[in-house]
Amino acid sequence: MKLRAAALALAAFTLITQTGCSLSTGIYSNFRAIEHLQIVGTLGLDAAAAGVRLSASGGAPSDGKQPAVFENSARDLISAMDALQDLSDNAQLFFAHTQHIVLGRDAAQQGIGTLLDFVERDVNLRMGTELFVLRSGEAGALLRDAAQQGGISETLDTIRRETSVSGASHVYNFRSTAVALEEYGAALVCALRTQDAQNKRQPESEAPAVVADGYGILKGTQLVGFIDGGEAEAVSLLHGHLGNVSRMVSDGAGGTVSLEISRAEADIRLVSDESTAASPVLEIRARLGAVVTEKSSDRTELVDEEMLDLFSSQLAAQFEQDIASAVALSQKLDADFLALGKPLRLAGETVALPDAEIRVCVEAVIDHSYEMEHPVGMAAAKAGGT
Amino acid sequence: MKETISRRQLVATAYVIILSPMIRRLPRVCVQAAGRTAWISVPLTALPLALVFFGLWLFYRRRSAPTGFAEILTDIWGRGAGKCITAVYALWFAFYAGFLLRSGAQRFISTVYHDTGIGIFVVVTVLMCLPAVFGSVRATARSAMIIRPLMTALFVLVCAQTFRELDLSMLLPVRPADLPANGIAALETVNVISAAGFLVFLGGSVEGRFSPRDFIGWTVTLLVIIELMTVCCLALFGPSLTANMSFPFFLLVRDVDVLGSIERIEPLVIAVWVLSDFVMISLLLRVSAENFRFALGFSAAASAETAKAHDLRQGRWLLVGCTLAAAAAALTMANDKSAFDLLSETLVPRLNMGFSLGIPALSLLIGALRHKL
Repeated sequence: MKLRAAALALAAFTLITQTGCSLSTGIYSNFRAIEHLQIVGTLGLDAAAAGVRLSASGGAPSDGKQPAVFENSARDLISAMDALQDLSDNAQLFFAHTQHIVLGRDAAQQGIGTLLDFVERDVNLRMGTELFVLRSGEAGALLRDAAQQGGISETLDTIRRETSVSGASHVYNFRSTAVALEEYGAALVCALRTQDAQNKRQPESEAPAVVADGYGILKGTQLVGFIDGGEAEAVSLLHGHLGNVSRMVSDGAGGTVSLEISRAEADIRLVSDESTAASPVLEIRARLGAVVTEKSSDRTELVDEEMLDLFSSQLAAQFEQDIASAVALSQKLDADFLALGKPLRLAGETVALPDAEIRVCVEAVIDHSYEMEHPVGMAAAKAGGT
Repeated sequence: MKETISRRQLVATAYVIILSPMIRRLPRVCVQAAGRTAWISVPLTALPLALVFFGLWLFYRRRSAPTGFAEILTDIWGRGAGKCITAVYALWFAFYAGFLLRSGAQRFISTVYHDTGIGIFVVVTVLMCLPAVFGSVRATARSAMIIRPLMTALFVLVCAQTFRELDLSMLLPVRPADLPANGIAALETVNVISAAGFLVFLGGSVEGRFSPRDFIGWTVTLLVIIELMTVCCLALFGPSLTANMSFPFFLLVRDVDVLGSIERIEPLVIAVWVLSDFVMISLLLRVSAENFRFALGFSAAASAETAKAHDLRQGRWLLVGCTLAAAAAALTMANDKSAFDLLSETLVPRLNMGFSLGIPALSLLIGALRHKL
């Protein structure tokens, strides 16, 4: 009986030492009271003369105040994070739930190898943290400006949702970036463009401080360029992220027709035939389905198969051009951000990217259109003409 | 009263024990050996494992009564040599328990508690193991039966959370030239699994005759778990990152969220692995002390008897000695990273292979030559 009591007392003592009910510098060094935490949603990283400039933005408080933004420079990331703690008066900055990291252009051009290494090793940040790069400007300035409109974290969350639907860009996290750099030596990062001053000066304007605009291209951890517009959509197509983007085609009589992509798939494979015996050829095949959404044309025969073929062939030609441009850029930079190395690896071939012969073939079909006999307003005009 | 454990309890104990070295070594060492095709090494592991079980069957096929491995060694090598080898095993088990205390602390520090020293983790783990070391082996084995489904379910649930992000093309291509490297990776996996081999020293307490068929079920389950972990890590991180990480599985856990609401569950998952350490360290210390008792000539019958925890007669004071030795070893060994890496990556795996596979293989040979099998 006495022995059991002693055993229980020993167990209780052991458990108690694991709780926060100890000295402030006691055994359980990771204990934090939640009401004393300032959760950092987004970090900004810029290049600085002394090393790095780190900014941190919290989430939007429930009382409607502006989110807190902290900035400091230091020789390295861990020193900068420690220095940020000193700037917060009443709360400890808590990085364990940081969702986004925004890189200033200069910082990205210097290279993100140190940041990648830090995220992998540090217990605070996660490999699932999303990564963004600014086309211009500093991340610290973005975080400050966005704080006036409710905070950058919510804006970046919205960008992630929007890009997953549209496909004009795509948000990658540290894990996928690190894997792409290891596998292909290059990776893509969601590029952000800050809204111009015109938008921000309008007092009624709630335009976000930043929007997604294509991709930044990393080669060996350094930012080497950007890709946007139709080429960015082509990149999204090849990576399987293309959503409902719209394209405009001609109706052949001076009018235009808007098409929206309803489905898209692409595959890249190695082909071999008699003409390619010397070196392997990569063939990029894409298949698109589109919907007619809008037309500024009074041509009533737009439902004809011939007209739909005209639209689909123009759409295919546009994407073929965009894919070819993206491939050309990849070869020019010698940065395999299109993951062209995957089919080569699967086939056991090794070809230098700039020397690879790459063919592009795109097929497009118009799946359906929400057809009206005449565009709105044209029926009366036609009746008046007759 | 003679203390016995059932074969089901022994199987559950072996399974839980292996989860500790598994998380420390796999899938990293297999990917380092075989690259992106390391997932092939897991089913290949069945072949050398079958040989190991066959060897065990050879040791036990002519023994009708439950027999500990110490008695078998004595029978094969002779009384003097057998006791010496048993004593060497006892030293190794005490050292290995100390290493596990140290590596368990290191696991906590490198994954979660960067700012803490190893002392608190070593001391708490030793205190936690004391009731099991001085108490009933049967109770420890029974606890393994509860721990096994808990850890298996946790493991499967964590891996299932990553399924939608897996890129299975990372596992390809596979070529015949990859087989030799996968053979080496399979041997590493066997080395990890053989860490449970010390349980044969408890053979004298196991009810019924030993049969390799008892182990088929848990071996298949274990290999499925290892394969799941290997595929998830490779398909998520790729071969280069997986080979470079200290604990790929815990890094995978770091990004898991439950229903999009609960994040950063890795401290909880890492803490659950303490249960595996608890079972393994407790039994290692117990077996180490029992082997010393055997080598020093204490009564074998007395060793099999259930004794009160505070009764240190009949050589049970060796339990105190082994525990203190393991704790001291844990607190003093490998005080810097390079020394710990040498211990963890080279010395301990090689010693484990020697003790778990090498000496038994040699004993089989000697036993066959002397017609003792």
